[in-house]
Amino acid sequence: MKDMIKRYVYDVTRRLPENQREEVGKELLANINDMLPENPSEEDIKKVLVELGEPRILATSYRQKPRYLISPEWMDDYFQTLKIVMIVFGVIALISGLIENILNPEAVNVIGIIFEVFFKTISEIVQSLFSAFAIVTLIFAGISAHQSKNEKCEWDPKNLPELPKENVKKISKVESIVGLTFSIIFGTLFIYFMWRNQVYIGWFENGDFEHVVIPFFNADVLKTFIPFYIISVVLTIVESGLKLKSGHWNVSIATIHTVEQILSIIVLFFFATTTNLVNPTFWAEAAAYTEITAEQFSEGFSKGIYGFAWFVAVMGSIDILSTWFKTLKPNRKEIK
Amino acid sequence: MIDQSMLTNLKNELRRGTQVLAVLSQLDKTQYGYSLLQDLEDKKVNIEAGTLYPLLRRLESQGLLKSEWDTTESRPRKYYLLSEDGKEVYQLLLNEWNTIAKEMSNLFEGEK
Repeated sequence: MKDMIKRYVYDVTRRLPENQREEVGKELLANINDMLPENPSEEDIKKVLVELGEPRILATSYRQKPRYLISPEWMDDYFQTLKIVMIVFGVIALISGLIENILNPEAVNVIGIIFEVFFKTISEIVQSLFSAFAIVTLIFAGISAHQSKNEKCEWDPKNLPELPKENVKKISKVESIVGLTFSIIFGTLFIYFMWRNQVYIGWFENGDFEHVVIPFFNADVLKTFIPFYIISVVLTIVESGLKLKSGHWNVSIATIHTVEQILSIIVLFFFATTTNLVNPTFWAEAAAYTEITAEQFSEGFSKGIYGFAWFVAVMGSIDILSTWFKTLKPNRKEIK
Repeated sequence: MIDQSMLTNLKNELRRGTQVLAVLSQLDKTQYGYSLLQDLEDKKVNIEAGTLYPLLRRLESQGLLKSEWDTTESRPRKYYLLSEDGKEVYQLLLNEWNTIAKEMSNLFEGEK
């Protein structure tokens, strides 16, 4: 029965600085005993302890200064910075994770590779978000601790931030319409030709009786990319449509845009890693006319695609980041 | 309909500043925590035990109260009394209170 009082006192004092624990414990014990009748029952003890309040709260009142990791004044800046840093870390982890895992897959079949890429990338994103959270939180905790020590600093109205430009989120109608038209026309044409095996990039030879065509791409391999391409075209069309409808960036447009960008980056890297994408006969033919061997042609081409894919990946990352900044930036309304 | 919890909050905020004054006013004679609590309660000033005990400790650390443990009886008790500083601060706070009361009543009467 007395045990409950001791447990209560312990639960309060363990939350206090060590040099205060003994004294506060003695005070608290004396006060509790004063509040109890002679030979108290368990009910009496419970009543008194409930009256004194939760140990956590009582300990807070005993502590002279409020404690916090990040002070209330810094909370807004903290959340804002956190948002930005999380987006940057997330996008970079997403894209670099995808590329890394596509380039070095351990699984042997396509489904395996897709699963591997998906889950490895997710885990990399989670790790990177956690580090972003930890870094930002530590920095702000540091700032808070420093500020509370220095009390109030003088502030200069000159340092107030500039007003943001109005309506940075707007998307022009022309841009959306052009985007929509182009993606529909070129998308359909491209899919059609891919499907009909009529990609007219190739080696033409004028024979005596007929044209001999040696196509550049290996048609069967090229066809496997059609579904991705269709998805990407559909996404572009949906995105342009939504842009036209709402006239400014919002979360759903930004999401579709991100998915679309990432899809193109993935497809490009798959493109680059796919062997026998180019018809070997084509290189052989090309080598026959020049001093360069077929292997050199093939190697140069795949290096070129890799370079292009990396370029697209970097540009795409920058594009995704700027899209999200635009989307999440609070739109300033003129105060009248 | 007035939000009751908001009202309670506002009342508590208004009262909070007066608690120090109430405690200091009763410590011209030595008292231990619980006797002070009862003393205030008898005079219709309700202050929660969980608020009073930490407050006493704070006032002591600010040098406004001096304290002494009495261990002669079966129950050890910590007795508090106004220090010299405490007496002075009490007087100054009391003046402040009177000024506030006057200012406030001027405001309220001006409204009529």
